[in-house]
Amino acid sequence: MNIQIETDLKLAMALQPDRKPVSYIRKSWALARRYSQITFGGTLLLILVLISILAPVLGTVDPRAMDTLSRLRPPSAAHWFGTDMLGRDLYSRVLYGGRNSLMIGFSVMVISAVIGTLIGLISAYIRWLDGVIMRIMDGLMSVPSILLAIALMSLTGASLTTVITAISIIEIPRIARLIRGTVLSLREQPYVEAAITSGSGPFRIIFRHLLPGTVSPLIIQSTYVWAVAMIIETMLSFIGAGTPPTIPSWGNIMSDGRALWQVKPYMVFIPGVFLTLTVLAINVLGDGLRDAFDPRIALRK
Amino acid sequence: MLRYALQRIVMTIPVMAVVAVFVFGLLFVTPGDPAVVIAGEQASPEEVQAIRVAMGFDQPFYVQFGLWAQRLLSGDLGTSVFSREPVAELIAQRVGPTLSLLFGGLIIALLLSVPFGIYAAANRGKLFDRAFTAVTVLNFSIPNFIVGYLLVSIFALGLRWLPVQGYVPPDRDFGAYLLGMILPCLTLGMGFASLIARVTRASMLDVLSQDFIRTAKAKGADRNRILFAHALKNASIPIVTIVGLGFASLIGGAVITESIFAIPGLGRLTLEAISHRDYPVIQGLVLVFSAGYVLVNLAVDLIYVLLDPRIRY
Amino acid sequence: MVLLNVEHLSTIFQTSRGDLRAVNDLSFRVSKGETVAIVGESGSGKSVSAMSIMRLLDESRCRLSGKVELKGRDLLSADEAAMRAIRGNQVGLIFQEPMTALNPVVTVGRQIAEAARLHETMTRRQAAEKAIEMLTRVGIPDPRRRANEYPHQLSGGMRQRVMIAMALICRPELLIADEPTTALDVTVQAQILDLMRSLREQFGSAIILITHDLGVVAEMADRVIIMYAGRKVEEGTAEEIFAHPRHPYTKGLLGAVPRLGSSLEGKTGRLVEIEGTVPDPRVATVGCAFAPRCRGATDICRLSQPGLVRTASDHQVACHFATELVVA
Repeated sequence: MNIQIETDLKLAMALQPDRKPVSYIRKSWALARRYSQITFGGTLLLILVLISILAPVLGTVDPRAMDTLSRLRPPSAAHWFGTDMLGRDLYSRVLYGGRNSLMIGFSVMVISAVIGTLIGLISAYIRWLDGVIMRIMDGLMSVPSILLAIALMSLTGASLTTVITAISIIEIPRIARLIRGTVLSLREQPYVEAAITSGSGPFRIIFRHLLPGTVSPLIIQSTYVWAVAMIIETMLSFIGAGTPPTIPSWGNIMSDGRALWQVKPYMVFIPGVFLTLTVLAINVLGDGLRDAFDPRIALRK
Repeated sequence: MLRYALQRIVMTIPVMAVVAVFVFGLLFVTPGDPAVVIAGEQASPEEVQAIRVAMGFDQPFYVQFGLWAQRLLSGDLGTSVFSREPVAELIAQRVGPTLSLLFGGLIIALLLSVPFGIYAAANRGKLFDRAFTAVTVLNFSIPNFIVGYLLVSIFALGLRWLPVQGYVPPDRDFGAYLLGMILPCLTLGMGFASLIARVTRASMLDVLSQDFIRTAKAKGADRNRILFAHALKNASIPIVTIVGLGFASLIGGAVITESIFAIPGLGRLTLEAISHRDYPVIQGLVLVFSAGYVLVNLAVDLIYVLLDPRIRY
Repeated sequence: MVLLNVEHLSTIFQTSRGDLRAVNDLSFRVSKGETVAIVGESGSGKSVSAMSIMRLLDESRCRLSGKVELKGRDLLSADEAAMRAIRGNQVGLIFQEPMTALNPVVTVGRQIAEAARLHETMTRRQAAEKAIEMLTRVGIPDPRRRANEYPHQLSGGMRQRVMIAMALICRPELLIADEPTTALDVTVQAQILDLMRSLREQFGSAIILITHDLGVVAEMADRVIIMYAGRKVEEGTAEEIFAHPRHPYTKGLLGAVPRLGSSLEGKTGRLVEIEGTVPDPRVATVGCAFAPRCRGATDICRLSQPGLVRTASDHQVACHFATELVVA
């Protein structure tokens, strides 16, 4: 449809009179259908998060308890997901592992969002720092993520904090770039110019005018960061450069099962399925959020 | 146009410099004695001291970096702690299989993604498009080693069409080389393919909503003409960008893929270096991979010139 | 001789929030060689009607009804292949934004040549020569060089000339121009209109000129159709409409045109605005769509939709008070 028609339609849509009252349930259902991606992704994610939070309740045994008499058993009534080579119950390990994996991903998301936003703001606002900061960010982004993480991990040794720090360092440049770009383009907007000319101080401008505009791209990008962080942690653990083996994470469990995957595939596939579902949920949620915030696509619906 | 190309080439230098500084600087930022890291934990105190002097760790930072950079530019990437061989040699020996894997993976990714992305965009909202979206999101979310294991289960263990593991150099037996590369390249390429496919679809949709498409329709052009002669030409610019940027994930995936399929490339070298805590090798690998990534993106920048006349004139 | 016959054309968009009647029961004729202007503000349905006639809308999202006959042949029931043969060939189109209406990565010459090759078999070279010839005709200097340039290397006015060249290369009998000068500078506007007039003489094509600019209408049009909220509210020859506008909306439009020297005539020189805004096309109105904004609206206006009344041999008005003389 051409610009003209879209203008006509926009005018039409903008003047929406209130129709007859619709029941709450029907309204919610209609909303859920319209934003189906957010609903699906969000619900799935919520379920997975709940499961991992409730790990102590849902788990049957201590994930570290080794029962050397029942090693490498396939899934059964006693051990729903089977046991690993040290006799640990996989069901509990997967639950607790999920907790750790999700938590690592979430922490990375929060840390990189906060620090990345800070750096992006500083870079966009203080011109003479901008060049230096962006060069550094470019340099960091030029190193393929896994390798950067490997380099960091190999120097600092494995622990939960180092894993989270390492992966955060990888994700910060992307967010910093995003925020910087958004702020720079927002600064060109007439309403910001108006605020500046009317004498608003820099803090006011940042908090009232610029930051709100960064919220939606930040949220969308952050959801993807959560997913990517979990994947990187898994990959790192899989090759032995990630979460220390004493702490269960999906990546670790799969790494344990590597050598035996042909005979005991469940050790690799079960956590793999959980990870896939989680990443899928986050990705779908992210897509849904992005579509919801994009005015053009919203218009087409 | 030539100026643009030169400009782009020159711009890679500061980027690589930052990477070099960063990689070198990591030694000092992280806990532990850099000399011990370079010499290795098994080294004797004399060896550590020798390293300390040779690398100039008792000198100011910029002198050390200067020494190190000098060595770097002359091709000396240090010495492996584990095998005592020069890192540069280790890398040169193993680079071949990794290159095969990376480019094979790239080609497969492109073949599997672009046609489907175009078709999905052309049939927006219909069954194919919906299935396409679901499949790509799913594929995107599965960790690539799981995909690898699945493929091996089906095609190697199950149907026995392809080898489970291993690598045959192309000069020894080209047929076996090809067969052996199919599964690894598929494993590597599939995740990337979903990304490219989605970007292709999005880019095509964006272009198809633009005014000049309406003009083409108004001239009487048929659908294929509009899709390929008009839309694709414009859509390819963002697609190429994403291919360049996403190459990093391909590199990361190669490390894991080589592990699963026992391919003696740089990825395997990385894993060995990790288990031996061989920092000089890791350092060298980071530099080499980064350089490769930067080169790929440089190539993308130069391809733009061919695709977008607005840059040329 | 009637070239285009539109009868009771309606275009209804199906949106998630209800049906949207963009064009409502539109009927008009265009004869060979005549220039008909369709005038209205944003949202009046003027562009949509042109798109509907050429079947350029996404028909999975809208319903077309009525009859559109080009030289006796119904366009609404024609299949896509038939429409493709007509577009660019018997009917040429020009759009509003020359900046974005051309493919940025293909040379201008090739885009024009494409229009020719789509409808006549010829070699690339022949088509290229034709393109250069058209570039000369539309007044572009140094056409051979320009043909190898890309759209971004040309100015807005030149791009619009290229569009015109593309639209006319197959000598169409009907040219539909959707706001061809709106996006251009005033001086360039005049040049483009001159060009269109001269080409009209050379090729003898009829023109449907869609615009909101009454100045353009005065310069180019033989007949004028005024649209409001998807309906035709007045139609007549250009002289008639300008001299004796009958519909309150038309009067409002004419009153809102700034006139040089009006303050000298003793009037205050203020522009008379039409209060209110265009109605929501999704809400089916009872009565005249213009009633909420009309100074002379009465209960009859609000209750019953006025039909088209013929007030002179070539003057139709849709207003209950059309036949009454109103002293300005």
